[in-house]
Amino acid sequence: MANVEPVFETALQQLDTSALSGPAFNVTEVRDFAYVVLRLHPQTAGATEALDRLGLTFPPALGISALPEQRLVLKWISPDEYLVTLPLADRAAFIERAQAAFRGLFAAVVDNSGGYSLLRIGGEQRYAVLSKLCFYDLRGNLPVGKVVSTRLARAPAIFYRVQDNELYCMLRWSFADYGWKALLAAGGEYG
Amino acid sequence: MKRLPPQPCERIDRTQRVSFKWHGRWYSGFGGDTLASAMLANDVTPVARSFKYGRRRGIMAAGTEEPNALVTLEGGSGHHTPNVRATEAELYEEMQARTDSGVPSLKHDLRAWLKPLHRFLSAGFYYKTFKAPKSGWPWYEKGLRRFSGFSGAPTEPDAEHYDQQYHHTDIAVVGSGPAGMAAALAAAQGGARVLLLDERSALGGEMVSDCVTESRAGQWFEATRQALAEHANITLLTRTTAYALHDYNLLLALERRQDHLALPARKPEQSRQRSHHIRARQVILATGSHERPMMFANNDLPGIMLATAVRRYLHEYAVLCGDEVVIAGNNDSIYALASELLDAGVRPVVVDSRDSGFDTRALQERGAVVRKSHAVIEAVGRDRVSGARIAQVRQTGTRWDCITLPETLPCNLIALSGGFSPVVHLDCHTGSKPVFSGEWQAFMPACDRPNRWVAGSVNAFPDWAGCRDDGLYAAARALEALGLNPSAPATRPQRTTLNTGPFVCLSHKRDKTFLDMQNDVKASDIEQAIRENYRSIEHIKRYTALGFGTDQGKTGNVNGIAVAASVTGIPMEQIGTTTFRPMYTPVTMGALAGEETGLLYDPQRFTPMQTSHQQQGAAFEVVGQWMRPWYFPHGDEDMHAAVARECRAARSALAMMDASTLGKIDIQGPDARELLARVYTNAWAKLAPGKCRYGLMCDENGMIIDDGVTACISDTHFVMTTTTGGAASVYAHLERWHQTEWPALKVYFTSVTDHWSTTAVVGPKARRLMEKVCSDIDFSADAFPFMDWREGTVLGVPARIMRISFSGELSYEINVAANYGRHIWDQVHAIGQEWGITPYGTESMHVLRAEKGYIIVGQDTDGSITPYDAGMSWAVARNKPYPFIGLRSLSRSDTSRPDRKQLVGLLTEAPDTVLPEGCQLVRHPTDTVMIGHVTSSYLSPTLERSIALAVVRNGFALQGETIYARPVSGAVIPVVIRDTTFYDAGKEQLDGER
Repeated sequence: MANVEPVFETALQQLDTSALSGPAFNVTEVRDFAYVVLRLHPQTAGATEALDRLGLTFPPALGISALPEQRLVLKWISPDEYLVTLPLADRAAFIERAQAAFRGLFAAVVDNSGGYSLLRIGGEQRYAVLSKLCFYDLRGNLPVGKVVSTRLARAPAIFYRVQDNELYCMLRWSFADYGWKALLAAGGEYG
Repeated sequence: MKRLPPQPCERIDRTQRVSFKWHGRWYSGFGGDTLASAMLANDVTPVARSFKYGRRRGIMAAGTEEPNALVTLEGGSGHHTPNVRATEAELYEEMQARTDSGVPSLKHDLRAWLKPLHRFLSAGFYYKTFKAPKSGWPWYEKGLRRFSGFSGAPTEPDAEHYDQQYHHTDIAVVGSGPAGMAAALAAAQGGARVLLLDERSALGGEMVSDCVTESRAGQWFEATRQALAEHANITLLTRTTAYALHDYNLLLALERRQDHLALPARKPEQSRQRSHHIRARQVILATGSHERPMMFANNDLPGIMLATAVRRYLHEYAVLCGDEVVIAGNNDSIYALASELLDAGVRPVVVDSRDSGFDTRALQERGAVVRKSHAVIEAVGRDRVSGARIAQVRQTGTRWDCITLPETLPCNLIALSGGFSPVVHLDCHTGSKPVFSGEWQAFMPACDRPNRWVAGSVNAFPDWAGCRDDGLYAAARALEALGLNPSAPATRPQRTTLNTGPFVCLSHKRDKTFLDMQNDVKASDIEQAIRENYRSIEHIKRYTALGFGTDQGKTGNVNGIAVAASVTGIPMEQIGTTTFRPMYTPVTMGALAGEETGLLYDPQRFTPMQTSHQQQGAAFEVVGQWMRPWYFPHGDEDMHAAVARECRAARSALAMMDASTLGKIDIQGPDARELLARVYTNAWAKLAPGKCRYGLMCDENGMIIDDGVTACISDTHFVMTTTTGGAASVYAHLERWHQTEWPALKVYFTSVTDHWSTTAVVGPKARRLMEKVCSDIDFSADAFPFMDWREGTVLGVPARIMRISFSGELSYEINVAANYGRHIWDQVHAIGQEWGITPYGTESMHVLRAEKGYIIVGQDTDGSITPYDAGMSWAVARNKPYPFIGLRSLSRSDTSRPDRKQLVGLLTEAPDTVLPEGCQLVRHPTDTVMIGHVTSSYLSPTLERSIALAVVRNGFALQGETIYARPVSGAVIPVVIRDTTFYDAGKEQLDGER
């Protein structure tokens, strides 16, 4: 039986991401997070209590609820779909607790940790660059605590904001390389 | 034409000399010049030859309405840009420009020599000519192409790049003349976010002329310009032309970011042009108006220009376009030009078609000659205008007649003002029809769409102060609509008037009276079209080509409508205009593509193992948007050699494939099993946890749309796989049916396609390898039978392992989170070297499954194949409690016919002959009616001969018969029909090496 240490990688692990690391525009792939999808409708009997057992509340449409100390963010994706980002180290325990909390309810917990690349985007010119790729008004209509599902160039993307001066963008793993190339091309004129 | 000493408000920079090349000869201009102003200053004429008749043409206008001076910039290079208006091309150092409109050259044009034949080349001549002999058409076409068109297309790859940008704003203001400037500033001061755009490099529109003559105008302009630049709420976009206005105020605009820079000065990291996509809550159109020329014979000669253009060249570029000037027009604006020419030392003759109007005494005292109730009836000249024949005219009904003998005035410039046409185009893009006003002799914008306003000369305000006030009014209304408080009054200002007279079109030489300069459309063409019963303006347009050119008829359309009105006796308001469609001005293909070129044209999707595939030398093919390994060549192997090696490895030892691209949908809920039963044809009620089942999916017509293996995780949890290309459509299919037809079913679908990576281990030795990489699963054939799945740990990673097979060999699919996909692939590859493990790609995958007769949806099916057609009745369970999608359609008479196209195998008589896929099949060698076609065809390394799958009418009944393949090469290839399983019909290979 082969005995090897598993090698964990993210979607952009193989890329040299230093090209987008300047003060005008910078993009960093967050590499120690997991992504879990919770399927549950707030109007399901017992739903609020179930979420409460996880220390969470249902955010409003396009909203976020968070546990900052645990670096856990719950994002509204659709009326019955929520996407959790949380530290990788907490993934297994969270999934177990969520499955226990939802037991008996019409609900689902789906580990989608391999499904995304999470990008943190900053820099003075971030809106100038992103406005070349995304038709959503990320500057004027994405305040702290809001999440939107939209596009980055031709890739599906989820943007959300938890603090003022930076944005988070989630791209599906298979689109991450394309998304990176699009950000590179759009950010090129800002150094 | 000549350059004057410095003018009070000129925009050229005399400290910056700029050299440019026109038709191989060097000239000089100044920074701030356009190519047109520089050519005028250098007395370059003619600048083009006309489209049909090869007539000499000069520069007529100063802006986007220019119909003649279409040039090619930087021809033959990566910066080649065809059909640029010289009036819009900002001069830069070493600009190379030429016109391609002469046949064969600008100096000598064959079409002009054919003048005696011009009478046969009137409107619609091509509908009546070149009919015989038909055999001559290749020559006609080649010859006609040589004579038509303007600039040639680029032949080199574009050396620059383009991009797009999206904006969200409260108020977008189009046009920065006094109306637009006032509106933008008032809107910003009222608290709105404002985007102000203008096609020119500087703000002000036509105000420069006003600033020269009126100090109050100049003061207001400077103060407003400064305030606009400093206001934090305003985004200014100059050199930006709004080219389309779509529903809900989506405004599209093209910014020429670097076109004005010399080639060496352009920054490669910056786009050359940018297409702006602006979503505005309110739009104010301050788009101005275009002057119309007067209509008379030979009104297309070089040296005949629009009056506002003469003013602009005089004030902005210090170019005097002529020193013996006749001004001809039908409105008061001609006297402003007369006054300014007098200031410049020219004594013009003003020919006013109106009887009454402007008090001209002061002008006459200064030296101008004024002839009222007169019109120019013909211009004379050859290379340029040398004289204007004028006469007194009188209008009777719709007729204009000369009532005196003509006299000829020597001149080298005729400046025309036949009235002003508001630039209504953007307002009309969403379907509005402009309305003709007899008072203004113009088609006025309807502006009947919500959240949209017009202001300024587009609204028939002729003076800068009126435009300004109208802009303030529009801003006030827009602010109110946004719920903000305007400070400006909410009453529309009163318009002054230019007292525009009626359209003048004499009957003299209508075959030389040009309406559309770009397409050589004459007043006689309009008459002819009407005579031939093309009476709708849309038909007149198409029959004559009026307004067809890149200028969209900006200077000619309304005159054409006026001629049509006079000929038919139908008022202009009833004739109406043709439909205005985007783009308002030409937009480069580059700007439309933006950054979505090359690798960004379409997303390339990669699996987690991409780097490893590249390192292993894979050749890739595009499947959907995925880059999938196609084959893995060793050394100088071609595809066939690589595929043969890969297939043999899979059949005889060990191989591996990346199957990560398949769609995966997590299905959970108490009704998950019921949902599967409704979307698949087969039964799901008894599929136990730990088991997998192949599913066949049909649409409502009973036609196969997808297939795949679904694993039962628990009674309320399944993971469905789909084809790679069908992942998104199947997901949408499930959601659509659930949400619209079965909302009571408690089930959730979550796409996990990207989460799971899949390494397939294939071949007789597969069990041996699995035992080496996973110790917590019993892989013996009895403990882990075919179509089971198990959870375990593979190489330290939690995994789901499915024993399923698309090759017919023993096969295990290792599914792990994508983060470990490459780890698994690399380790399996390393450990499998013991058995010569061979990575294989999609080509080998296709061959292996075809040898087993397994279908590929979309290749062996085309949306018209039922499960029965595909020989898969075993997959159809007709007795489920709730009907599956497509069940009912399988009973329809056409769907249940016995002689439908059915999936069969084919073997060629010559084993080396590989049939082309798509090849037609016929019953007898000489038949011309096809009975089917080849869907899949390969050279099988396993069978050492060719095999094929096909759909053949009544194919099941023709087993053993010989039919014929008829490829496009013309060959006739006999083939024998057989069943679809070419290899291992007994499925003995499935268990592999025990």
